[in-house]
Amino acid sequence: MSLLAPLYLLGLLGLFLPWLLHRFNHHEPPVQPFPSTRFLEPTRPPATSKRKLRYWSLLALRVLLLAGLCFLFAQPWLQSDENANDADAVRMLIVDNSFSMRAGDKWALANDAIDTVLSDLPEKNAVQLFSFSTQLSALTDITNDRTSVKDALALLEPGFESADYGDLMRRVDKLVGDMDIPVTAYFITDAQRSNLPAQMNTLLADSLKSFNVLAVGASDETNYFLSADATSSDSVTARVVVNVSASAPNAGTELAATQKNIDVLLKDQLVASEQVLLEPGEIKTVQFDSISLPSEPGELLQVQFRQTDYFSDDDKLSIPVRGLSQLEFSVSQIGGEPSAQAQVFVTTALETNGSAKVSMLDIGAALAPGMRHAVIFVDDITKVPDAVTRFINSGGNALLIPNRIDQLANSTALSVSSKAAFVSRVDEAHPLGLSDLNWFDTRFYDTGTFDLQSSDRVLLGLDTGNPVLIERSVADNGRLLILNDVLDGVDTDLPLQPVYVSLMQRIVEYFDISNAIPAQIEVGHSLFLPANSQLLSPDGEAMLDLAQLGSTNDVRIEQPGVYSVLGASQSNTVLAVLNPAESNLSALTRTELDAWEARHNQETLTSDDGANDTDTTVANDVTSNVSNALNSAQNRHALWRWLLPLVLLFLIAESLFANRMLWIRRDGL
Amino acid sequence: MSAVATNRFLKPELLARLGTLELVARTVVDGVITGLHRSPDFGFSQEFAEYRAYNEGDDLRFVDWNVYARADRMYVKRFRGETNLSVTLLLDISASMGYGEPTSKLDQAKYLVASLAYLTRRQHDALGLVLFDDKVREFTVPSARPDSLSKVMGLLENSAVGQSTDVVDVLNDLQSTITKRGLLVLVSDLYTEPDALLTSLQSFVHAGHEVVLFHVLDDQELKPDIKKISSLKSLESGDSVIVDPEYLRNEYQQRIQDHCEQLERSSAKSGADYVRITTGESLDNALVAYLQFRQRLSR
Repeated sequence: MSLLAPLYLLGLLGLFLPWLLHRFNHHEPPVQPFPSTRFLEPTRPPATSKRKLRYWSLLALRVLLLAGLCFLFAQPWLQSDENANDADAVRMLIVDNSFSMRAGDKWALANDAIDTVLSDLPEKNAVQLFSFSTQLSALTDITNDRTSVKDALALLEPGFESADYGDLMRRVDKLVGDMDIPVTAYFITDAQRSNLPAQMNTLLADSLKSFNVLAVGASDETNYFLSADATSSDSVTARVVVNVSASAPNAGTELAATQKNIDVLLKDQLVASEQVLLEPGEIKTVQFDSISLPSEPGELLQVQFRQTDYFSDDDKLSIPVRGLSQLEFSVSQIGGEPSAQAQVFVTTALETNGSAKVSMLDIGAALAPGMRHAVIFVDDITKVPDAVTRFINSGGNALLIPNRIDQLANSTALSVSSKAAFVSRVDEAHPLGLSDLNWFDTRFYDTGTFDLQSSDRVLLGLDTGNPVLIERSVADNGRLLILNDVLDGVDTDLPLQPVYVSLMQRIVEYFDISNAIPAQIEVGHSLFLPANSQLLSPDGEAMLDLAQLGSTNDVRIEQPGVYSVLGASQSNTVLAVLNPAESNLSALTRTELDAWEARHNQETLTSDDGANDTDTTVANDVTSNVSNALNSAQNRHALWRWLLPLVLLFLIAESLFANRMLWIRRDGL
Repeated sequence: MSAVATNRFLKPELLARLGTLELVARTVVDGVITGLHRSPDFGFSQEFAEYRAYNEGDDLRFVDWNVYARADRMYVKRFRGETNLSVTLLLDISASMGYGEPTSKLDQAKYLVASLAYLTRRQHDALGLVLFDDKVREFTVPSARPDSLSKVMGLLENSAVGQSTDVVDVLNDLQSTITKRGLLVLVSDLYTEPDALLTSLQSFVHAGHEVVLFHVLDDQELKPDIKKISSLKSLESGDSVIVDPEYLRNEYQQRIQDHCEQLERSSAKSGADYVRITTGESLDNALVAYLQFRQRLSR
């Protein structure tokens, strides 16, 4: 028998209360008048012993009642013999090797936890070891050989990637769903709150027999981390923007603000410094302007905290200085004149952060020669004009926007709807990265229907089924995007929404990186390399062999740092950055983890839901407690169903007996 | 004696319904033998006692001349006096006498004293009353006046329980007050030292008094019916003693029995009569016992 809340057993100390009451219960004898005490002698001792003897049974009942109540609150449960039938179940050990596991002694504790799991599991249980960060990777086959599991674990180290618990459960569910045998999963992790998915329902893996989270290494200390970006428009001075963050405090923890010094170094020489006061959970931006750059290009800036904290891996980073070059856009029209509002909206959005320079062409003017990027207003976006096709074929990139609806009243391609529509479909795989933008509450009123062609790719779609942004392949050289929105702010709500400027900026970047090389990429993601490109690691080593150079490649970036992409005509630098969520080490509480586990063990643990609602301490299953977690909740049988009637029986018996005692005392029998 | 048998059923609780003490006394006494008690002094009453040879100096008026004529010897006739016996009733009204349900010891004692008073006056004897606890509270000198009975009855009616008792002290005080020889009737629960009481009683007996002790007790006092541990609080001192029923059943009863027997022995030694009555007992028993004692004494 085990207890879910053994602390309630402290209530057993209360057993001394009835014992004391019975021991010291001084029952004053009734006073009776008597003519004289001349011949009387006090004779107390025999009377006391007689009373104590009589009340022993009542004392026993009360002790049993209190003990029963304590055990009831302690929620005892029994592990049934179903474990014997569970011998075939595969134990899936998933160890979190994301970047946060490098902090403090988390990784050592995780290893200890796995060792304990392996030693406590019966030999007949097959085990398979997995690692999880961005991906779920099997490190061993399903095996009964514990040594091979430990060997595989010894070779594993925490990486630099991030983890998403929702992603984990999806992958586990898919993996286990393909297996015919029952699987019990143990997830050894630091239980980062920042690793929770946006949608909690993704935390459920139906195919698992049971699921247990073994949380390790939670710390109440605040972790400070930073990210930075350096730009230069003249290659002489640079602007460095540093985002300084402090991880959110754990539940129930109050921490004071801390003073942090941020230093910027160039060639190991301090060139700038700033001091900030950070509250736990706070993010501050520090900007260093006019940092002089050396004459030789390609030098990296170092941004770091002067004092490192207990998780030092995220306290320092090297960044390249990114040159600012403006893309020249031409705005023109083919057919009718676009609305002035639409032109203003387009021009303003493109030039917002200086990354683009817009030239307005006269009405009817042809696409400017030499221009590689254009925004073109057309009457019918479903029919790409030949001029645009030629422009794309020549290597240009174009965004087509329809003219006002009233000018297209007779068009069969567009139908006007007064009902607001919302974004319901986003192409997450497209380099535009539209899924990162917040489309919530962005309304589209008069989006016309669009006849898609086979070469069209819908990047953004509405709940009405109408596409908003389409990419059409008309040639191999350039890119053509079609925006199914008039952007005049009257018939459409899009240009008035915050997401609009971000959308246009993404389009600028998309057109700009026609070679598909981003300036920055998150560790754990893949970098798309065009053909005939070589990727150099931060250490300067080539990452592609000769056989791979002839074709395009997707290279998974596993370490932070500055990568170099060497192409046939130019070279780019790519900064691989850490996911800041991994540095936010705020941990989930044991109650939250119990709730997560309980979703998988709901059938047998329904009565225990919310039992530890008040437990706000962070989850931190040390190795000694791992054995408890190993007991599968699947086979737990709560004993309250039997204990509660027993306690009630004691209560009734105690009441009856106490009444009888009272009756005896009143009547003096 | 048939009247005695009839009044055996006059239980104290029945007497209590009769109202005044005088009525109680009459009811009791009328049913009891109206036995005569005799004066300890020989006097000139009509009842012949004995002949005695004439001695010089005897009053010639008492010579029985008829005997002289027949026997030629002179004898003096002697008569037994029957009048003016001085009876003093001493009633203990201390707090302990208030014990007893439904008839307290004091109630029973009052009935007894009233009956004796009525009996006394019926025989035209002088009647006196002393009410006392630790000292004398009321004292009426023995008197043969007709209103002496009503006076005694009035005092009895109005008497209530007093404080602690000290019989010996009271008796010692009364020795200097009650000088005329007569009958002393002491009605009390006698919570006193038997030896000290013996000394006091002997003083009265030596002074020529006849003494009768009526030891009034309650049945619960003799055999307490207490079945659980109880704190018994003295009515006089207020002291409480927690007592086990086992003790009350055995040792206590033995002790009080010894006390009673010791009192009886002390009374016998001093020449006093000892009569024990309980609150549940009919008064006629006590009266009959008393009268028998008087008759025995007269022989």
